Amino acid sequence: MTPLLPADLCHRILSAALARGGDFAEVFAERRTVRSLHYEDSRLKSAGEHHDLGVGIRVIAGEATGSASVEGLVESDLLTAAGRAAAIANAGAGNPRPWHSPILPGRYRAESPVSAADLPTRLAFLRRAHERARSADPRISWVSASLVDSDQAVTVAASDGTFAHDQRPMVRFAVSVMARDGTRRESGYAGGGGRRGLDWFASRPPESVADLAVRRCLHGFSAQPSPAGPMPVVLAPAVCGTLIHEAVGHGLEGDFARKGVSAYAAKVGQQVASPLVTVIDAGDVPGDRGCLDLDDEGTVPGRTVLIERGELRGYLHDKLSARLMGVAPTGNGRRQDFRHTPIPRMRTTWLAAGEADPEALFRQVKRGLFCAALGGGSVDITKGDFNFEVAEAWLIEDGKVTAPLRGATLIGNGPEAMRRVTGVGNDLKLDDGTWTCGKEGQSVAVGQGQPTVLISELLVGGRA
Amino acid sequence: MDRHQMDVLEHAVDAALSALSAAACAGAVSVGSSEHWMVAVRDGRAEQVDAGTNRGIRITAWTDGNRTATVTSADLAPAAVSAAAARAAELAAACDADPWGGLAPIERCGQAQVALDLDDANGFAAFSVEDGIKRLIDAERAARAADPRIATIHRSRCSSRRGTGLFATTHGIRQRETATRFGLSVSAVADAAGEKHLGWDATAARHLEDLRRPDQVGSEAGRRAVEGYGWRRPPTGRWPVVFRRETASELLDTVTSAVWGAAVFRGQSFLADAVGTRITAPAVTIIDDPLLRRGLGSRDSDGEGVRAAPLLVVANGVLRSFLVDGEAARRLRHPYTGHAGGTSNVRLLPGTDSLDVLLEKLGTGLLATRFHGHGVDLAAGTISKGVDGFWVESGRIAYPVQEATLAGDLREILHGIRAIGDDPETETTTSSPSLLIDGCTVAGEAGGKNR
Repeated sequence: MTPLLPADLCHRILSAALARGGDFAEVFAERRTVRSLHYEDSRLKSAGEHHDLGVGIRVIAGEATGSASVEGLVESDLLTAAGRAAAIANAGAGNPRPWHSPILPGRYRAESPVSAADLPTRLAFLRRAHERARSADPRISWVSASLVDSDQAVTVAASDGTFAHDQRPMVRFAVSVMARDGTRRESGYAGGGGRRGLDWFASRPPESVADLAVRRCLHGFSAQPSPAGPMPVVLAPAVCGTLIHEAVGHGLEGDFARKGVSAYAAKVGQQVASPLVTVIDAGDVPGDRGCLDLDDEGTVPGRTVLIERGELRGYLHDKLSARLMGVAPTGNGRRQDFRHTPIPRMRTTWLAAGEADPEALFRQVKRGLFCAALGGGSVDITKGDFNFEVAEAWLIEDGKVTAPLRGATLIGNGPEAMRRVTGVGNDLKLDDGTWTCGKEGQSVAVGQGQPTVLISELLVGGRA
Repeated sequence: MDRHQMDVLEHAVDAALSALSAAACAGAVSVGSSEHWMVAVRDGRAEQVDAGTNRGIRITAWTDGNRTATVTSADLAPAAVSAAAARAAELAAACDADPWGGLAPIERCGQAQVALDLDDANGFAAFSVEDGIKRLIDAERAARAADPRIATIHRSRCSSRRGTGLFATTHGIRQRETATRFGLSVSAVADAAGEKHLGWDATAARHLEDLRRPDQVGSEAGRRAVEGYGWRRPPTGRWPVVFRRETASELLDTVTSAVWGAAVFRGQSFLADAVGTRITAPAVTIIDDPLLRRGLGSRDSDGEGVRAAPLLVVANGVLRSFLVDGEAARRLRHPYTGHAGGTSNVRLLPGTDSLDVLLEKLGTGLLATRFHGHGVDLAAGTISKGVDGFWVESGRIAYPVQEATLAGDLREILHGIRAIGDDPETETTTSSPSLLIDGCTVAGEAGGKNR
């Protein structure tokens, strides 16, 4: 891989960035190409290509960060940006350390990258999904499908000696359907992807994505309004991993912990969840959306145990939060693009497998909610309250899944819900959905998963 | 924007238009360039200073049979722009013909002849990072002074941006707009009795002089951080709800999404067949006014160059118009409304009741001040969200409410608007006064009584 910026130019930029002192300076160069196809209403409706190229430069002095970004790779522009970033510091000039480059583990070397596939190949995936969804049920009234793939090349050079490059593929395939039955309308969505090649479509055929979107859509016609109030909840494996992402993950990001604004701040070593709960965040799951050979600060990500048998073990760190909290970076420094600065972000986050037979967890519930799929969620990390849309809900009566439900929302308090985890299945599965996490106006791709989980009580929002 | 930067934008537009013409394509080009800074303060010192420029071009090509493709790029050099336009033409040719595609009719295009006053060039030039830091220190101090339980400031930010955009088409439209935007926000964390609460407030304006004072923003953030202490879950059941203006504005957002042209022609909206019918209580009138002077959502034309004009969306409860871009207008045989790219300044017109009067009319029920999560199913027409607020008994606030949910059928909720407040938000693009509504289910405690 050729770096986007040569080493000697990086050295000149870092020297300019450290002209007024500072503890750390960094150059992040990025070239991104995104290709998109949108198939809708039985036609290839539009194609798109998006090209971005630029550099973000930052200087850290104590707890303060100065940063500047600029499009393109023109040296004079980069030196001007370095000067703007340098203004945060006010001490004697510093110098970058000698380079050292990490060895990349090679976690997403696709045999046949989607970026190299020709238009007919891509179009065939879209047509297959479209045909399948259109013909699935006479009530389906509209189908759209999209295929987006991207290549992101990054070069990171920093005054601590980091000099590293990465080339990251990503593919995203999604199907959205609408249906009508008399005056009633329903919609459904399903998608998948990751840092994968064309071979992914063999294991996850476009028809299967279409089938899932159709199932979620038609579910609504037979569903009755969800009951409201506190009740036991069983969450399905894989897709309900959003629970861990929101209820636990965000509160364990190092910046929130360091500033004392998270409900989980200053609780390392304490019991913060049921002993059945072990939570892991990793950058090493091959092909997953959260997979990284290199984070956006040049750290090679590994696996971080956040909670082990209910005990809080540590937080997710970028270089800044790691230094200020006196620990090693965990490879969680991520940024949306060169225009934003890195902050601690999740990668692939999951709840570890337990020992329970999933069927046995249902049998413990007299009357409760089964979440077959969660939609989007969010969390207030300070108090710890989270919420989710339930994309596919069912009633549990006397240990059995009975009626389909509509319009359910789940809310709760993260630490409290984690203490109420009374059953964890042995069926851990990661989800290959199109999960995107938003924080401070920056979106990054993440992965998630979990086994079947029983929570003894959560508040369900509904109308019945 | 200096002369040289303006020339870069003009040359990029020229290069794109001639490359589109050379490829025998119709097309539209928008190119923008902006400068900005953002400063964050924590504990009286700058924690982060970001500065940067932003630039990019977007080229949409339309070829035979209105086949279309779009290419964007951050490279404005004429050679790169020509290549991007040629690529857009090549990709467009590979797509299928589209009877509803194409440029907006030329007679609909142009800039509204109204002084929108969106560019505060002097304010932008005079406002420095140091000024921003001073304001944030004032805001932080006011937040801490608001209550002894305020433990820390999570984030306080001030920003300044000025940008210029050019829009041009192969059918002869060429226009330019420069705008500024300033902002300041504070989020304060209260810590007491083993529980932390976050309080947030923000101000935003086109002109620097229109920002609220930093100490007002800070003390409001501090006040909100402590207002939830002593919270309880509400009784579960069907209760009347006052949507305070913040949550009422979110409900208004849901209405505009449901009358959005693309959602309508896809059948993804419960209001897809509702033009000309009553969709809300008769007291409700909703407009979208792109021509508000200094409005945060104001514009003189939309993203396809269609001339902007105020639109009556709902009149006395009756849906009068969808919000359409060119494709939706053609598919639905609907008049052009100038909504390519989004809404402008959506307003539910205020009534005469103060919030106190609304609470008196409410009697016993929920005052909803904040929603959590998305929880809207536009196709089915249902809403189900997390909610914070206050429990109201006999018109008086009894206790704060958290960890609660609110759910309902959107048709019932919109028809159930019983009274309209006199207190619209002023600093958001979508703005409603507080609303008293029947028809929601509130959940909190188990086994609450129904009303």
